[in-house]
Amino acid sequence: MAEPLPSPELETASPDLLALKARNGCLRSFEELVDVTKDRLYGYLLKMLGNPHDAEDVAQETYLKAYRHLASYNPNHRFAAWLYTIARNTAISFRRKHRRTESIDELAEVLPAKSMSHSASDGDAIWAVARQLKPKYFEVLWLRYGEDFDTPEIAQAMQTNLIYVKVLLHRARNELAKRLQKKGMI
Amino acid sequence: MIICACHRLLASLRAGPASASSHLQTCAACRDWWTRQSALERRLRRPVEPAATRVGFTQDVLRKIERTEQETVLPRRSFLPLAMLGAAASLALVLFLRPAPGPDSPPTLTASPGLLPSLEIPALANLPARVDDPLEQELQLVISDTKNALAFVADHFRTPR
Repeated sequence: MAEPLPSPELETASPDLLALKARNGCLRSFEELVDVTKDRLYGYLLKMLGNPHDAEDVAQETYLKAYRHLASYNPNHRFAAWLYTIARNTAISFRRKHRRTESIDELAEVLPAKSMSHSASDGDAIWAVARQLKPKYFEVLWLRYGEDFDTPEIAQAMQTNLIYVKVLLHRARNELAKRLQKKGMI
Repeated sequence: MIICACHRLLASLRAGPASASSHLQTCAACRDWWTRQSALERRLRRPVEPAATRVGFTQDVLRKIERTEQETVLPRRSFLPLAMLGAAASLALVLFLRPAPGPDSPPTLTASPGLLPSLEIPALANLPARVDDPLEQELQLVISDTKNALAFVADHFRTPR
């Protein structure tokens, strides 16, 4: 029997709307939600963890946790920020379990920039340099510019306050500018 | 230099260079810094090579969800048959281990309806009172034991005032 075609509403639905439907028990919406968000989430985790297998494991675990706790998702906020909070915590737990590292800051030593896929594009080149910053600096830059999160959303994802996010962004941009200048890329 | 750093930080925390416009008018270094920062932001916003999950990722997630849901439902469903099986096994064990009647064991009293004397209700009423004596004695013993037990508890466990 042919599988029924997805409704046009689902095809154009935003992650927030899909999350709302999934929260009301629609598994089809959750499937669509995974399809819509998986690549960006995987990209974020790949940058966080540096290993495709680890990134995929953590991404799957993230979606499992998200599904289990969908009832606690607040539709007044963006689904992506909520999902990335889970992903970040899952990635930190994963690192602690597998590498016995106690702090996310130690990821810098574990994850050299060479694990990233390089391309000739300017954006990728800058992110390759950004990856060499402290993980918190990289993370805040990625959430701001890579994921286009606003400051409150970054604060939610990183489980910190607005002022600290702004300070982190300021320091991260300064540090990145210095490194790019040293490399003659700015 | 320190003043510039303060202005830059404050402008970052507030609404950007507009909040430090008076300083920017007089400080060429800060104007240059803001120009470079803006250029950097524009470059950071450029799209990067997207990472792609492998084919079948979504299906794997859904399969895992299905599996975990089954694992949480399974124990509840399997409880009743398991409980019934356990009860049946216990009953079978009790019946199997019940001691067989030996030569010293009291004979099992069985009576066929024909051997029992037929007692009419008036006959029961005419029975002498001492038929009840053993029951009366037993009741007295129970009362006495209870009194002893209460006295023991009172003597040993009562908290002194």
